[in-house]
Amino acid sequence: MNIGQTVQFLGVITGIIAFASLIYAISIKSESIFKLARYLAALQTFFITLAVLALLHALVGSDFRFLYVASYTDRSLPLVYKLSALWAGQSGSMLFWSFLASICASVELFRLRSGSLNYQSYILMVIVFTATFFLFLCTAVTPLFEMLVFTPNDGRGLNPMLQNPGMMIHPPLLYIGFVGFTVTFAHAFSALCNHDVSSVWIKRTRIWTLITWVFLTAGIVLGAWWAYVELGWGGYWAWDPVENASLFPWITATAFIHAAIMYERKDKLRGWGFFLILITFELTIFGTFLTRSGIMTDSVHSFGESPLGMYFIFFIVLTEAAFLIIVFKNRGILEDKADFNFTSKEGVFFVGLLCFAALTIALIFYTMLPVFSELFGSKISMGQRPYNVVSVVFFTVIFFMASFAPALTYGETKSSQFLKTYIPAFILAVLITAFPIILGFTKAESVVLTFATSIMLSVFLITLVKSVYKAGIGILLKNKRYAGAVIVHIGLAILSYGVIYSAFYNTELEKNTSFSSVVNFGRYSVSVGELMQENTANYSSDYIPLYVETEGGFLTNLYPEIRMYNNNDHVYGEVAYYSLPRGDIYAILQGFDTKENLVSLKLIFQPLIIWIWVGSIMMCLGAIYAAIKR
Amino acid sequence: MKNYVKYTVAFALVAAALLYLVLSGFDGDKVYYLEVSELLTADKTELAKGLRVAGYVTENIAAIDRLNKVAKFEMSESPHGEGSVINCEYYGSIPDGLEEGASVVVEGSFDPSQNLFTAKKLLAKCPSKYEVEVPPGESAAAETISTGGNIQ
Repeated sequence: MNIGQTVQFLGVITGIIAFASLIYAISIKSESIFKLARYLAALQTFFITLAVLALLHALVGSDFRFLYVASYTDRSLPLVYKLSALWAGQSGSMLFWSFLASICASVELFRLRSGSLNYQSYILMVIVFTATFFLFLCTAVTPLFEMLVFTPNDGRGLNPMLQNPGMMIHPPLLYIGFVGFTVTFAHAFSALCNHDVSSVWIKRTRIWTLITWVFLTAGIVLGAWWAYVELGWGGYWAWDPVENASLFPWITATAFIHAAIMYERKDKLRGWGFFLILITFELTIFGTFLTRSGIMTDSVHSFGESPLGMYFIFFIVLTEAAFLIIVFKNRGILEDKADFNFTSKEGVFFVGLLCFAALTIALIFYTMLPVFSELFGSKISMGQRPYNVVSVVFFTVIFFMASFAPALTYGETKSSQFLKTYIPAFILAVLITAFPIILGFTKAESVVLTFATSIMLSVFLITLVKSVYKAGIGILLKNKRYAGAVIVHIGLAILSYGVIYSAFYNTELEKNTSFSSVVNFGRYSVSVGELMQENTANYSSDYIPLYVETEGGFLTNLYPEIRMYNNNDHVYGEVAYYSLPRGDIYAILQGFDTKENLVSLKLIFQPLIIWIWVGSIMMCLGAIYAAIKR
Repeated sequence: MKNYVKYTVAFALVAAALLYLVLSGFDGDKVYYLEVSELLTADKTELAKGLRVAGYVTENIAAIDRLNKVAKFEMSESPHGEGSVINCEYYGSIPDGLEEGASVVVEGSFDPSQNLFTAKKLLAKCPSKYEVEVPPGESAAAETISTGGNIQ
């Protein structure tokens, strides 16, 4: 056995013994066994870290005796991509997940060290179980440190489309955005096992949950951004099963954060709190399963069959059953005893949660339809429209709920008080919505969506102004949770405007023209230059400068390319785009023929698309701000 | 009204909306997903609907013309050209990554008399080589050495 295999094996054994010790410690209430278990959990982190270092060492050193190193790197690969190959391959990413989970376990070991034996043990049990599961997968099922009989001279390398900073950090962002919810889930499990359904666990995990949510949001948006700038179809989201797999836990996690607010403040929606964190946790596992098992063969991301599928299903079924049993045992204390009112903050939160849940169910249903339908006959796959329709419907309702919430109080709200905020907001929303209509953006769905977004935005702005007026600007520094929440929802509105207008009003022009010609594209005049070439160490590129101007004069030069990479003779288009606040101009060089004097171009205009990225950043910053402890 | 009545009404409304949306057909957006071999044995009713087929581009590529946006190639069920094959014609923007051995998904219609799939959409799969392609007749696992010194 090599070092990597050895430490992996030790990590699995340590995890199993730690898990068993925790169960034993709880049953006989032994502090000393518990102490042992804590050391073992920390020891497991140590072993997994060694395994990661062993792999990184092999990757950086181009040690092609290892199958994994030979599969995902080559000698000419830049160092950063040799390092990021850690998560490029299936078994490497399982190790990475296990590493992250184990780090979480050690952090919680330290953070909760003064808690009771029972409280800590159940938490550690869940995290160690999860870390050990993923470690087991890359140790025994798809062995990471497998060696080749013949050491190849060079590795296969990494596909050029993935040699991109965005693609490099997209996986770790997503993985952190998944693994973090294991901690919150573990606390929920512990609370139930200890029959303590007070909001203690919610408060203890608030920062974990928020920061994890930020990473998940960033990971998803980065993936969309990468698709937009790299793939050359002009879009950023295709409802591909693997894209959807990252979105499901995001939706339920967002719902959980809202339920958690009610849980913490009013001890309401507690059942929802537990249910949503369970679903979020299982969906992070399910997301990994969907991406890695190869089950979705009609996905552009499916990476081939693997035996991992059965193990994932087993894990999900086991953990779900354990949690549901313990919820059932606590059902008496979980009921909301107080009167429930729809005309209250908690009421609209509740409706919002229902919508989040319904949307997730619909999206999962459409995504899994090929798998389900195959069981009953022909395999059916859905196009994009059904996904868009359910998203539009449920998000419209969610946005309206989000517009009601700040204007409502806890408990029943007097209509006069509600209207004092809502009427001005309504007027402001109408004005905002009128603006694009006057400019000619009159499609019915976009008007409805714009209004829903605008009313949400308006209510948040008006309540913000009222708060600052009453309590001074210092409230934004003193009440970071409130200020952070406002920033998140304003960012959400900005993102939504970007999505609405790029979705409904993008324009495209495919044109076969000649060199040194002029193409008119809406308000833009595009002068096509001559063929140019550029050779770098990695690739050779053919590109054509495009001189873009408007009535106001010169705007920018765009240089769409066709590249041929040296270590494979594949041809890749490189998109060129220019961002303006009003939208992006996007150019793809599809092909050219110098003999025939032909250039095939695709020009796309995506309205407001930059605001998607701006809005997402705002959402992340707002959540980070809200997570800062007072 | 008692709490549970309010909850039930809310649940029912949302569930009804969900069911309505999900079951409301979207017939035009459904495509039948078939393997290449299933395509060759499919009956008329299945062939009449939108079809989606996943396969691999074989070495028999008639044309990949990005300039004129035409692709004509052969698709096989299995990675190395084994198993059933069909001919495929596509007119439109050619995605990066379309080449021999590429894993592709096509959407369109099939004419069994000509063994020809006319594709309206063509997707070349995300080429990240998450699975190692092992040449037929070898197995990477079989070549594993479990002894042979420490690697450091």
